[in-house]
Amino acid sequence: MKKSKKTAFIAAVLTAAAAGLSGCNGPFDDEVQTVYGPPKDFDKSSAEESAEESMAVTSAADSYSPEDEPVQDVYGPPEDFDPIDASEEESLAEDSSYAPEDEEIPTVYGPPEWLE
Amino acid sequence: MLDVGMKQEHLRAMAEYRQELTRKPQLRNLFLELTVRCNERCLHCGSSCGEVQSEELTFEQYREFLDGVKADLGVEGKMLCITGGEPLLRKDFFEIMGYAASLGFRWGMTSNGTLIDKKIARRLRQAGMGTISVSIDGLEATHDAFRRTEGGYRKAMEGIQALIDEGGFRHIQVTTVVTHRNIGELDELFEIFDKMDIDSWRVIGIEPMGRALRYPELLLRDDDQRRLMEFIRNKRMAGEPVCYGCSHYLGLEYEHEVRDWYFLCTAGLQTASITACGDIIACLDIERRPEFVQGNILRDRFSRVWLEKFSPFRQKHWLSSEKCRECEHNKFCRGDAFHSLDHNTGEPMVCFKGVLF
Repeated sequence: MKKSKKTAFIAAVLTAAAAGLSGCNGPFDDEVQTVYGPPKDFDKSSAEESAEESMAVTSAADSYSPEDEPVQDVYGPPEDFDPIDASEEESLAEDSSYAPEDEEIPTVYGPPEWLE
Repeated sequence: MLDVGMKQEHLRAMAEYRQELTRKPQLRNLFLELTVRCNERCLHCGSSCGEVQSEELTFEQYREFLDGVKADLGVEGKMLCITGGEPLLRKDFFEIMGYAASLGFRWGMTSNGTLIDKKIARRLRQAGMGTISVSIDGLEATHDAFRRTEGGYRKAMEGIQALIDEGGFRHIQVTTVVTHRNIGELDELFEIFDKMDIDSWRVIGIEPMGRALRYPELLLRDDDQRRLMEFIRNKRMAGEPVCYGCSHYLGLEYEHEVRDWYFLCTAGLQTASITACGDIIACLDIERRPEFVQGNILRDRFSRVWLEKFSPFRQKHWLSSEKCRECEHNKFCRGDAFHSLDHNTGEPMVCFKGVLF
């Protein structure tokens, strides 16, 4: 599996936490996408209702602000969108040996033997 | 564990963000269920897919729909999430998705991988696919039995390798549904996937819905849930790209430690779905009840439905649950995932209070 700056960062943060280092002050890397809270343009002051209860924040002094981070897509993996223009790619193969109707649909019903 | 105070602050920000989304929903994920036909018979299938009668939209209907979405809502910041059944069973799959890509939509898909070979991998890249998640639900024997497809594991692994060999995709992911039966295989599975050039491994617990309800022996026990969380966290501490899914509130111990983000059910807030027959719903995992169908793209303009309807998902529905109403976590959990609510009683079917927190 591919490891990246992001996975290294996550590992460092979790490991530091496990070692009893409080806060979340780094190591930060601008190139690593970290995901906290609402998107950058979320303006809390425009919200008509505040959170139902406020929770006491007991962490040590921390300059990190979740509003500075973008919200990651919830579904599936993250990606840096760089659309591939299909029209500029070579045309789709006109013929392909693949045909869905050639695939046999297994007619197996009921639980497998190991469950019975 | 990461700093509790930091997490509390983040979760409070997420709660405010969700509140803002109920007023101004922002479409980000648009699921297209291209078909409910499938060449497998997974025991846990939430949609009970298989060799079934499947009303399906035509290419022209998808074209008109996609044109409308682009015209009304734009393509920026939106992801088409293609799913099924097995989407590749559609003969016109590449016609539909190539058109979507030509409009500027980014898209990804879920697949059982069994129909992917070298040529299909090439066509997927050419059609603009950015991400894909292929299901592997255990070691070979377990996978084949669970999905009731002889040779399914081998075909799926060959499909993943074909994608890797083709290259050019933003993210190739394997998804494993963990059950009481296969949780003991996670270490071996990790060793297998670690040798493959995939981008991540998503590990999720079996959901008590769809076909899985017929097999309660597969559902995770409380100690299985904790074991799963510890497995994922330990891998992430080692720098491995392993993650939990997006569902369910995990409590302060595990939130943000087994996945990159905090729990937020985005059904109807950032996520909408089009079923195979064109019904407009929030999330395909949600029970298909009439009251949750917001319209149909064959008669309704999607953007209008998105902006003016979806009220069941933009309320504080958890307040109708006595259990949730009295719970001190409800500001963060909000009744947990909408799809795992018992809509007859209004009570959550999945709640990790007392299990993970």
